[in-house]
Amino acid sequence: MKGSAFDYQRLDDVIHSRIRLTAMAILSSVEEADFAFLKEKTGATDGNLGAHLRKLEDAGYAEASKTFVDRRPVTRYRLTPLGQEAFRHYIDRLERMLAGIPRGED
Amino acid sequence: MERDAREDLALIRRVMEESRRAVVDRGMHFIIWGTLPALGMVATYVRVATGEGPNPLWAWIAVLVLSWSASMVVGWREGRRAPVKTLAYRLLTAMWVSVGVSLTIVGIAGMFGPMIPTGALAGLVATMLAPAVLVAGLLTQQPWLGWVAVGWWTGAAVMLFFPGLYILLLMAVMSVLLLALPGALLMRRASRPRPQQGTPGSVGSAAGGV
Repeated sequence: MKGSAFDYQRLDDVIHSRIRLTAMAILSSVEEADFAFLKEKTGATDGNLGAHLRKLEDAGYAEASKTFVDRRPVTRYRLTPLGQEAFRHYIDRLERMLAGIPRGED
Repeated sequence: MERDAREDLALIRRVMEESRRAVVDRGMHFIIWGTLPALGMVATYVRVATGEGPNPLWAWIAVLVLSWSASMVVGWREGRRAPVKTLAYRLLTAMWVSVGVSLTIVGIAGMFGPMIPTGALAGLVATMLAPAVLVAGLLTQQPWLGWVAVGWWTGAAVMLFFPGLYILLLMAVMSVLLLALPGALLMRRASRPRPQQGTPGSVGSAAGGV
């Protein structure tokens, strides 16, 4: 499959997971979202989502800020400029793959 | 694989569209501005009709200070609690702050300035509240607020075309029915558990592992 129009290996591996992809899509369209909102939208469990979000943080695509609301910890996430650029690039590549336009430089 | 890629894109677009629209009005501002000014209206009516009671000007200064203070505290708390901050959320906040400032200016000008007749104040306020309620309904996806806006426009027309002391009581009733009551309904809706949605289980191409 490598080199074909639908070669998924050419997509960003950090984003290319259904939970991380959904989280990136959410964060790219809002200023920031808390963990509960992301959990609700992705349908993931706490531990699973936490692991996926940590991977996005480790890649520098998302940043977290922790606060306390009514004495309960709340973690908010937002995309970094690098994450926004990576997500745009991912969408662009996916659309090009669908259009059947091979990208030689990839 | 092509179908998977199309599903990925469809998922991304749907999730982005849903997230952009995500904004909740918890109705507290409706309740604050629907009840405190209503008390001011009643106090003014009692004073004008009977000649007794506190000076309406002092009552209105207290109403404005209390309403703004309560609104700022609630706004700060809701801002910290908001699960998601979107453009719609910013627009809603900016719109209500703008409308609040404009109404305060009109109110103070009507009470102390020479340009706005005091009898026209309630009608003008109702005219300004109608579009704000309509836009709030659109931003928060609560279409029934459109009917509330129609109520404000209708009341504004009545107050502006048929002047009289009754306007104070009508405005008090409208404030309760068309602001405080919708606020209570919004609060009830916002307190419901959030539904599970947007689970991307149908996307087969993207790996689920970490």
